[in-house]
Amino acid sequence: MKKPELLAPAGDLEKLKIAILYGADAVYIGGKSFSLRSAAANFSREDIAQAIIFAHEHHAKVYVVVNIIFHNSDLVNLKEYLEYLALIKVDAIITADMYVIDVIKKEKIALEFHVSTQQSITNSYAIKFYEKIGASRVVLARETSYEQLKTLKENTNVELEYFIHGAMCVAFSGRCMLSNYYSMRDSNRGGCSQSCRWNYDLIDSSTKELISNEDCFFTMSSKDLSLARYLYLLIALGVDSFKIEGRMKSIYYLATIISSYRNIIDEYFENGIEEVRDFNLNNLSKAANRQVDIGFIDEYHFEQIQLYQNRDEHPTKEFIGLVLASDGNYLKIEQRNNFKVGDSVELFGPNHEYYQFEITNIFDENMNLIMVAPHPQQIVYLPFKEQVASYAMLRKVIS
Amino acid sequence: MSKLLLDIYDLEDMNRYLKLGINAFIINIVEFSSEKMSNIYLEQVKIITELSEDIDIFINLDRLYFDEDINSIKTLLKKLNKMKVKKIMTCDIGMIEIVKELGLKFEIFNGSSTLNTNYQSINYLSNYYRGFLLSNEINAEEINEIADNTNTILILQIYGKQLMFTSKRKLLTSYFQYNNMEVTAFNAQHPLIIKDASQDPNYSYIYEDNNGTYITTLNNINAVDYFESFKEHGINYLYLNNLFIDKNVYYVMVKIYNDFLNEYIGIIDAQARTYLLDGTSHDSFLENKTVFNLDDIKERETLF
Repeated sequence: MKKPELLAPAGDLEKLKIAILYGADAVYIGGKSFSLRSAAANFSREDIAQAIIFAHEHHAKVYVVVNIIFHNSDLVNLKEYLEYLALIKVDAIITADMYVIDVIKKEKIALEFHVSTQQSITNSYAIKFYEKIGASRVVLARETSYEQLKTLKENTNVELEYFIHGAMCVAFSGRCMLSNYYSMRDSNRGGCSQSCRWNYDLIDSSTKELISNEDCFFTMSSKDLSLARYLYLLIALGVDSFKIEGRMKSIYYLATIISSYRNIIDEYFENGIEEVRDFNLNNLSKAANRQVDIGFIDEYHFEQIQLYQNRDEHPTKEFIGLVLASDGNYLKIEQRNNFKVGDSVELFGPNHEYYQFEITNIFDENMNLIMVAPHPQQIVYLPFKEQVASYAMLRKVIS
Repeated sequence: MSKLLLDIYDLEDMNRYLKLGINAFIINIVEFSSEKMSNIYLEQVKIITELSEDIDIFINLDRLYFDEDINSIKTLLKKLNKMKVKKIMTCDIGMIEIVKELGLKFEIFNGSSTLNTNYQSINYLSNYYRGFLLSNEINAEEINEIADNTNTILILQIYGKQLMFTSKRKLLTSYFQYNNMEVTAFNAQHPLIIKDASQDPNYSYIYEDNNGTYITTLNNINAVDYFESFKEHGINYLYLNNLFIDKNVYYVMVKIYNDFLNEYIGIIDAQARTYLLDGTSHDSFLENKTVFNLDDIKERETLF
């Protein structure tokens, strides 16, 4: 059975390194141009080149999203950009616009391309179309169920990529203009104002009476997706790539989510474990932003996948520090949230390290004892007798 | 030469417009198109195609299909072919492969109202489609630039509600279930309105059918000030959408545009103009560009 690719997002170079160190087989990133998520830091050309060197050294792939829906004014400089991506050996680009494909083919640019979920690909004939024009992979619409996925896998040859975790567009991707009309921000070019998550009154068009419940606004907000419990079914189907959403997400979120899915996949292939362990499920919940659900994979249970009354899930653990170094005596920590002596913490790392302990001493940079680490990015030392990898993380256990 | 293109929901309406000399229609078929207000069943399509070969009939297949839908789509396409339908409009690129596999010769039109935004992509896709419905979010300058740089059939909506959102989710059903509320109708026959909580709220129509939820603008786009320019740039079909519009209002609107198109009236006179721009209509994005870069967003937000 083929081991699927675990594909993670990265909004900048630090996030890319975290994603790969915590177990992503491939990472998707956006350049400064032609990419959705304009609010993410995104990658300069030099960053992309560095990202590829780092990823390839770690046997991981880098896919660059070129996924805006182009307007006439966006058409300039694309060829030169694609040639640059080919030159630095990007593993593939992810695109939603036919012009990109046209340029790659006409100019014979040596770039693999995947077709973005922005095209909302839902059937095997659409996949065949993209396969014929040279796509090596399609990213399926989030609306695809398990049964539909099974049929698609049976009826097509191209690689299939499927979302397993993260935020959901409530509309068919690429088919939503709410942000454009309500905020004048172009959702298909990275400016989405997430109007679907706003609160609305619902009004009868004939009587003009308010219909919505005064205690519960109408909203279209979706719960996030989490398919951990279904992962083994998806592996058995032969899905080629499992995609995690979230180029805007933090390093802590990425480390937590990626390491959990890495464990789940590896435990299945290496130990034959066929039921996802609670340890992994609990870890996923430690980085939850919103309530999660299973999206469209099972029967359509439309009420359950919606989020009403702005109900957010609060993570049960708080990210407090990044391990910069470790020598078997001390951990060198960069503070990310306030912590103090007496706090219960968990340490987890890219090499599956996992420890629980109480903070007994904190030393500042001059090795003076302090009781609290209050300052963002403050460098402190914690006594710790094990060696752990750089980029391990500390999170506070909140009771 | 530009033509008006109308949505038709029943045959009686069609006869009315044929008498005006209009001969291009989008037909929404019950069960196969996303639900609008159509009363036309598949069997009636034959009556329409037999009227005259000079009528341009576009069968609107404006859904995204899943594999379980494909057999019924194939059956439908074979029936449409027998009925001598020539043009189908679709949002699903898979339709190209389905039609090819069946060996049928339909002219396929790309009916996506969000993805046809630049001339280069349209030129590439012209290898597969006979024509394109231009996206709603591009402005007049962009539209005319596309017309100047393509050699395909272009369709542009110039009047009516604009589709803003398509979801597979049944968002109204879910909401009412969650709140244990009984609301009898929220379909295309009886849409609801959503209003956001901002100081200057946006209002839109929202409705559901068996395939999901749709949101359209509450007010009508009216491109009266751009009509002449679109004609000059050779937009082939100028489309007037009649969703949620009173039949008589729509008829008058079509008549004014038809007179103007055929130069029965030289300019849109004051009275016609007042009717066309009824105080609630808007020019959508025809004048204003949307923004997406952070700097542009910040700059725009300082203006308000």
